[in-house]
Amino acid sequence: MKSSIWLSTFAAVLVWMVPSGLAYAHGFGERYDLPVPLEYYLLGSAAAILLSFVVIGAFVRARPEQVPYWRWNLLDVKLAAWVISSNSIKHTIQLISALSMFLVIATGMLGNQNPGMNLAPTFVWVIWWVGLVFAIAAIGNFWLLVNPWSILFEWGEYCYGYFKPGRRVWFGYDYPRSLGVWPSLGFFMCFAWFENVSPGASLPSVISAMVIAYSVITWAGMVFFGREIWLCYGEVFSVIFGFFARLAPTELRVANTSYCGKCLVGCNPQGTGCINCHPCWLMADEASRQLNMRPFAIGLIEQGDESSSRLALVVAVLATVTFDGFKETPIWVGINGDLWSQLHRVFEDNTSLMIDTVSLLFAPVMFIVLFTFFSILMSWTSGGQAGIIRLMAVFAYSLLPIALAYHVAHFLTLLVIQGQLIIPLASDPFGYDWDLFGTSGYRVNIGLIDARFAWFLGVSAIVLGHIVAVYIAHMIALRVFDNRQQAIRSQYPMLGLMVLYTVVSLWIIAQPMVE
Amino acid sequence: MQLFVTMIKVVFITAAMSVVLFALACGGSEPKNIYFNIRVTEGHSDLPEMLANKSDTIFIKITADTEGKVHLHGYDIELDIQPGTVASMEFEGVLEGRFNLTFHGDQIGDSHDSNDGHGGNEIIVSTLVVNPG
Repeated sequence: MKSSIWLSTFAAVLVWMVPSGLAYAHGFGERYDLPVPLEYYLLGSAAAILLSFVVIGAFVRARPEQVPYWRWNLLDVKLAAWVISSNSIKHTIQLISALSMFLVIATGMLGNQNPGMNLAPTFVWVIWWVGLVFAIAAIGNFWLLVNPWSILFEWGEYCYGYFKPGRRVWFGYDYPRSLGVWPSLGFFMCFAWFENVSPGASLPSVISAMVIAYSVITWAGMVFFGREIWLCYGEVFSVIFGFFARLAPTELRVANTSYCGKCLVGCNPQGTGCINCHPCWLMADEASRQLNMRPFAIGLIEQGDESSSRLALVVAVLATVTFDGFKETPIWVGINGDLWSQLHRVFEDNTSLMIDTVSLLFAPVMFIVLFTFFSILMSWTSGGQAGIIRLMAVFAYSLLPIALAYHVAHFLTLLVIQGQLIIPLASDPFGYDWDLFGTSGYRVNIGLIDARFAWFLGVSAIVLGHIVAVYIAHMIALRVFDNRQQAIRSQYPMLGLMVLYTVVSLWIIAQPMVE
Repeated sequence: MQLFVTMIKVVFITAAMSVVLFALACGGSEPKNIYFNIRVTEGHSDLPEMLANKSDTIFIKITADTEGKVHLHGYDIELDIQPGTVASMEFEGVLEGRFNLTFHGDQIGDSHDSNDGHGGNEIIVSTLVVNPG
């Protein structure tokens, strides 16, 4: 009863924020995608399964070797080294990022509230949330550079240091490490709720309010516990983009583990140094710093923090990515409708909100149950050597390629088509009929990607993601298990889970998208 | 190293297969004229889905029992409609995809372009599915 009062209040606040009459504005975020035909879906599933066995076969035949993966230090190229160490380039990029955040807040609060005519929804949902995830997985973790909350806090600290030299903006509390990334998980579920369930997600003023709220929370966390610590454990996007950065073909490496001992954050150094650890990078001397090119996805194998909180967050990301697609399928719309008619008498106006919220929370739970089941099988087939939770914590990363591939398949057309809105919006971000760059009359070209190309791209991406996942899981197994036989046997259940995940992902893109 | 080479081979085979299948699939069918009649009564339509192929010439005739506007999304064709009259659209299926045909009662006075949003009271009358030719 209490929770429904709380939920009603929250819903009422959101409804108050919604300008009357605009329950759903189709101009923004509308999708015209054709579902992938049955033949493609079947072929894709078959290919995924077949090629998995090719990969496994290769592992069975190969000689066991502990070779560190191929790396090439970009900083050996003088121009690259100069660009990386250039403060003027760094500050310019950071200024642009910080100003972008202010622009999003300003346009959201003050601009035209029609989502298709305001910069905030397109910038946040298409360019940032979809585009940045793709870019980070494809290039590297440049979120470390452009995170506006980190940038502004750092500048604030610098100014503070002017008046109080040597002092940091920090109340001096130690972040309890046992808390792990649970705060980030909490923030992520709120974000996922906002993105998938909330009726106000595409409304500019609501987006502004959320950005402001999150800024306050983030800066409070930084003031209490210290900037770098908060970024590592409590700033949800840093943590999640960090997951996707493991797929990227570049890494920041500090090749000298003596820095890691002094690192506030407690990064996990391996023999040859630590990877993508920002505090160590800042401390390290030029000679120890490397910006390495590396094989795609190899970073998923790297030993990381094997805590249950991190496992939970990875699972939450995997589950919500899939749920986001599933909630647009006719089957879900049908189930939702049935539930609605059953529960309408109890929850009245809040029924839809309740059903969607509970199902959003249910998705990671279902995922964990499935994953636990397959992990128990994994432990059993490998002789019961490793603990179940530990197995789940290390192997969860191997599922990220499938999630990212599904993300590509599902959102590429959104990025290419709705993303074009950034062109007229650049000239008229507030929707006040400005024309700063002469592009405000640009009309989105829906025919830019034809259906067959989108189908091939989607199915190929998912099949490729699947194969990469199988490969990565095998590599992790070789690291985790003493015995090669055990390692390979442990992967059969994992293959079962991956085939399931891949087929479900393919199934989702074969469904017509229902509003 | 051997494993890695195998992985590269598998990735390459997948990519090659995709490209080959993609090239093979690009056939074409004869463009033709295709006709649809929709009747909207009390907010419900008698034709939920319209199937066409790319490059077909599509004719849609709509009648409704109340006054309002019909809008074909994607193609962005909008027509006024009154009870007793027939609203007609004729266009070439240049865009592939699923496009909603919506109807809304005459309550909105603001200007309309493809990036605009509509007020409430908009219903999806039918979906035009344009498949690759």
